[in-house]
Amino acid sequence: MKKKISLRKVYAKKLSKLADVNKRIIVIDADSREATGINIFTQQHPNQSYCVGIAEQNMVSLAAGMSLTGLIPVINSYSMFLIERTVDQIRNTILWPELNVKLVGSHVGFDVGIDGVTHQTIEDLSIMRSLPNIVILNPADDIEMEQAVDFMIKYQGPVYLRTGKTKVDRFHNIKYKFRMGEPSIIKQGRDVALFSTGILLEETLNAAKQLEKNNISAMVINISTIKPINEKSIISIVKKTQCAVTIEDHTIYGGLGGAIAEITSKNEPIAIEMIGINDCFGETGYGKQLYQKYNMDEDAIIKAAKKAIKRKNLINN
Amino acid sequence: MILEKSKIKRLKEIAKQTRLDIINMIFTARSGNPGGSLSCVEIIVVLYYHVMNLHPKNSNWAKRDRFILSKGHACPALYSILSQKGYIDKSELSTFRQFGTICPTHPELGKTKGIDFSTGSLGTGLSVGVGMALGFKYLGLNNKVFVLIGDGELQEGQNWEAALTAAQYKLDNLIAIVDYNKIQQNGTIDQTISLKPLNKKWLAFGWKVKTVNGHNITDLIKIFHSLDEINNKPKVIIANTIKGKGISYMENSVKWHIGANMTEEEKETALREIKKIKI
Repeated sequence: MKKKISLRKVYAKKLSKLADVNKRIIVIDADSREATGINIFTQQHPNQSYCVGIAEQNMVSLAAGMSLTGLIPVINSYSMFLIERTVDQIRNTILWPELNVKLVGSHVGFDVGIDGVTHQTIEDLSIMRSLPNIVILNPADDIEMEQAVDFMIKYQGPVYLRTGKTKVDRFHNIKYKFRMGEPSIIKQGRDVALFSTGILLEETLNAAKQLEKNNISAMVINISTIKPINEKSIISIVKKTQCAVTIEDHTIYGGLGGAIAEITSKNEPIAIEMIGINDCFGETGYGKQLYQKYNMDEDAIIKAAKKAIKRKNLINN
Repeated sequence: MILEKSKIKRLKEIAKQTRLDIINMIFTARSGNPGGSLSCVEIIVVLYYHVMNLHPKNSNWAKRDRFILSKGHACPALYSILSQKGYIDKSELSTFRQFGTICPTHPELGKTKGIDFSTGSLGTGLSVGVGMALGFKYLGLNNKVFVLIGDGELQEGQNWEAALTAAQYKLDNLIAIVDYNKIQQNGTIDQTISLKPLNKKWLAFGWKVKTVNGHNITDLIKIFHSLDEINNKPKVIIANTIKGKGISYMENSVKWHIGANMTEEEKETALREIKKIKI
């Protein structure tokens, strides 16, 4: 069985490999190379690396200016400071003029863990989803991350890529082809669709396996492109299962849950249950401890799946 | 350096035309920040007609110097100069701030020929300029980057983040100009949040600092030329200016920072005064 791996390191190694031949890739950080994993890149490509100090707003607009010289700036920080401190700058200097800047956030959700509330960004997906002209990627494993990085560099326009701290399993096989916007089916099923993004895919898969023991056939779907999502792919899934649970290490407001609900309510209204952070802040603790306390773990997903199916049956009867 | 009198005269005539255009645009639009547009006229005239390496017939020319109007609300001045240089047609000026215009309230990259960046959110322009200057250095190119910043705008912390970065990376291809007209929306700078001593602040951040009368075209040209010999440091020109310069009832006025709903009489008085300016 393949060893678990930290996706921030997978990202940095892949980007570094791309930079071996592509001298237009420029990495910029705000004094967080080790935390973001990008030190892997900066050690191998010091001439393609700049640090702006602890100054994220400056970093964002600087990258905007740099992109207009024909370079591909890739800016890195904890997502809290990369995204939430800088919404004005992202919106007005990158997204509005649609510049070729890549934003990579390494610490997301309760997975950030013991650094605590100020570092646990739990709103980044809903903030970024509400902004035009941005592609939002949240790969689940190393296979997907490598291809997402490749895509990110080739894509002409702004991209927000979430990496991650905690080491994760591999969920896709070696032949998997990442395509922007497309969900990947990790496990087939017919009774309920479990849509998962990012780190909670392992909890989701474990929940599905437990549900099988109760004769409930759960489909597990990995959503690695939060925006844009291919609506037709989502609709075709929920047409089969007629109910769903969305699972994310993020607030239940406006992230994956919101994205799926927006699609289904307009096209194929179904019973949806949402697993995520329920309108509260976290606390100091490891990810697994927080998922358990805040009802985001395997048990919570199982309960939600059963509830979604019950609601489906009520609607249909 | 010898400056031909005829050249200086021409630049003064362009500045005069720019002031006329500003008043007409803002009157037609019923709003538009006349005070801060009038205070930076000579600065932008000198940049576009003497200092910057430009090609109006090819606004995307890769070797051109870049200009960022970080105080984006002063765009009437810039639009007028772009029309006089031939980037846009003069007829576009009368559509300023109106639906469907190519002269929007704040400059937009891609909408108007000759605009190098979208601004309007104060405090972001210098960072953008730093990024451009850093990129040009990395690529080994000789393009220069000019950023015009408002004085009230310098209260935004991001400017100082950018200033630190520029000094760290020795960006001598970056020139900032502060339109120091000493007035902002609520009142004077000193009444609001004082910037004094402004020159010492920039010096402390590692910049080469020059000070100039921002309405004296000859002095402006000399100051810009004097920057060429400075290496390994970013440069800032603190241009002492007068808010509303050129119109007696607007000069040093807080009211004309926003300047909405100019009356016909006020417009006519302004145009008359500008036409009387001796070259």
